[in-house]
Amino acid sequence: MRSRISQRIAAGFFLAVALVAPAAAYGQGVSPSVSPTAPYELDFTLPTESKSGCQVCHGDPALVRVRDGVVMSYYIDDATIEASAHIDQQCVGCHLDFTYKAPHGNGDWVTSAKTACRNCHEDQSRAFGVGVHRATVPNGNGSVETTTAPKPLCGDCHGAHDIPMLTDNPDGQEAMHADGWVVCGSCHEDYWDSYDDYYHGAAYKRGAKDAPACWDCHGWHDILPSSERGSRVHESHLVETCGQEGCHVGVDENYTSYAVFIHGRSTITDDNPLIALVRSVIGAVGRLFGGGAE
Amino acid sequence: MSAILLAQVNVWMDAVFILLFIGVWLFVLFHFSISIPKGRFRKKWIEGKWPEHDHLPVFLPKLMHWIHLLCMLALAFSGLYIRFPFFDGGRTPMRWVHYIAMTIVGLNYLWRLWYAFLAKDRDYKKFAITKRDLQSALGVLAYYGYFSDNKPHVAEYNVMQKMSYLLFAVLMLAQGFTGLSLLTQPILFGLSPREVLIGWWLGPLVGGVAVAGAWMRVMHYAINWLFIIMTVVHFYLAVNEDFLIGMDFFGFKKYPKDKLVTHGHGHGEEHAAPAGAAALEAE
Repeated sequence: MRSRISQRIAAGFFLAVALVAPAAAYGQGVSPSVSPTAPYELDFTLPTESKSGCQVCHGDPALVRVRDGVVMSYYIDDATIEASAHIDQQCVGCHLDFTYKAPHGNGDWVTSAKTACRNCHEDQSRAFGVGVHRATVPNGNGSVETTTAPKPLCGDCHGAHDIPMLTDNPDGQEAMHADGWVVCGSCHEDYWDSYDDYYHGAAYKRGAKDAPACWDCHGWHDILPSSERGSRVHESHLVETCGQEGCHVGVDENYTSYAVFIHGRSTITDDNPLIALVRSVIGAVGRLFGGGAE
Repeated sequence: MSAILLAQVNVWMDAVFILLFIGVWLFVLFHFSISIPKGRFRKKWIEGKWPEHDHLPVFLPKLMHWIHLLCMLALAFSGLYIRFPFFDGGRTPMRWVHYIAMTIVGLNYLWRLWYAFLAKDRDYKKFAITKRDLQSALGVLAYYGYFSDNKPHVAEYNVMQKMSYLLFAVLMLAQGFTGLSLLTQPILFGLSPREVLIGWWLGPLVGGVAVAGAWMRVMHYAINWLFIIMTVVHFYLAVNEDFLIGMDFFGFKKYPKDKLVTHGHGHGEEHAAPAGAAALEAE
């Protein structure tokens, strides 16, 4: 009995210290920490086994900042995280440069978060390092240099807090499969537009689950330009790519030359003399009936 | 080379058949409009002088025609959707619609064959093209082309009708063949319908089984348009040439009993001469 009383007194003491100490420190004008790993002088601490520390603020839909005249939300929906593949990860597992002070500084935390994936997904990171989307490229002199061309980071394709679980998760795979515009199309708009043949592109854009997404043919982390021999859509690999499981049967090189249609339907359509004639007639009729001068 | 040709053929087919479809509707409209100055419109649609009949369509062919019609509509709709997806998320359901309608229409086809040749009321003779039919062909063409007001009456169906119905039957077989040739699942003792139907003969001819399958898809698509275009003409002629019996055939309205006549012979017998008692011919 005495032991239980003494335990309660000790707990009460520590609780009081925990509550009063930060307020007291703030009142004395403690300067912000200079190192993320600094053990003391923090604006606040984060619980080590949950996200509740961050979500105290970021779980509030009203958490916004005005930056350059734009209202930016910093709200993170709990439900989004709970449905994601990373429910067991702590926020600082990806936000590696979190500075433990508020506001969290103006560092390039976005880039940091979008590339933190490599710390866990090593194979994918290595594959990404040999694909066309890598930031460092051979410069032709036997060495590599950082390209100035815009290159995607992991998060640009995969998203952030809502990344679905893919392994053994049909719903996640379906969500990923439907994401072609976000993953590829939003950058490669011309290829997205030309992907409109009947049974691949047009069907894919209409949500056909068995129509190939961009990466089903082109590959993903180690994707290469189709002009490079290592590309899955280089003519030397089309037989394997078109004949992969779940796609075409009995594929040979005669058949794969038909693949020009996949991104070439609109060109072939434009080159068709009958369609050109019909378009010109429709155009002429349109001009005749008030289409106006061009 | 063959595959490049395939890509171009596909685009050509889209253009040609869509234009043809529009052209057929325009032609039908034109043909109908000619019937006004020629007096046929007034006689049929205003005076009610439709062709006379001495017997009415019986139940089973009517039922089978309904089943066939609904399935073909479903097949055309789902098939065109598969090629030109025009709403979201429909490919898998439309495939199922296609497969189910295909099965029903196939069974219905066999049923119709049984009825035509083996049933008690077998009617295959109604569709047989005789020498007399062939002799009447120019006259029938002249009537439909407004060069003559007399349509030769040789049998219940004129020679153009018989040819059309027989062509429908042949195209059904061709469409079934080309459609099954698109299936690549190994459901026939480890072989796919494509391998069994075309892999062993067409594959070597065109440069591979997959290319052969692509050509079958081209044929399947072309025949689909032939069905659509022929059906437009069939529908127009059924409505504009013999509306009352058409309504009876679909079960919408009974053919007026007072219009039932006999014109000198039963239709189970051969017609004596290419002239008859049908209203138009009697004029």
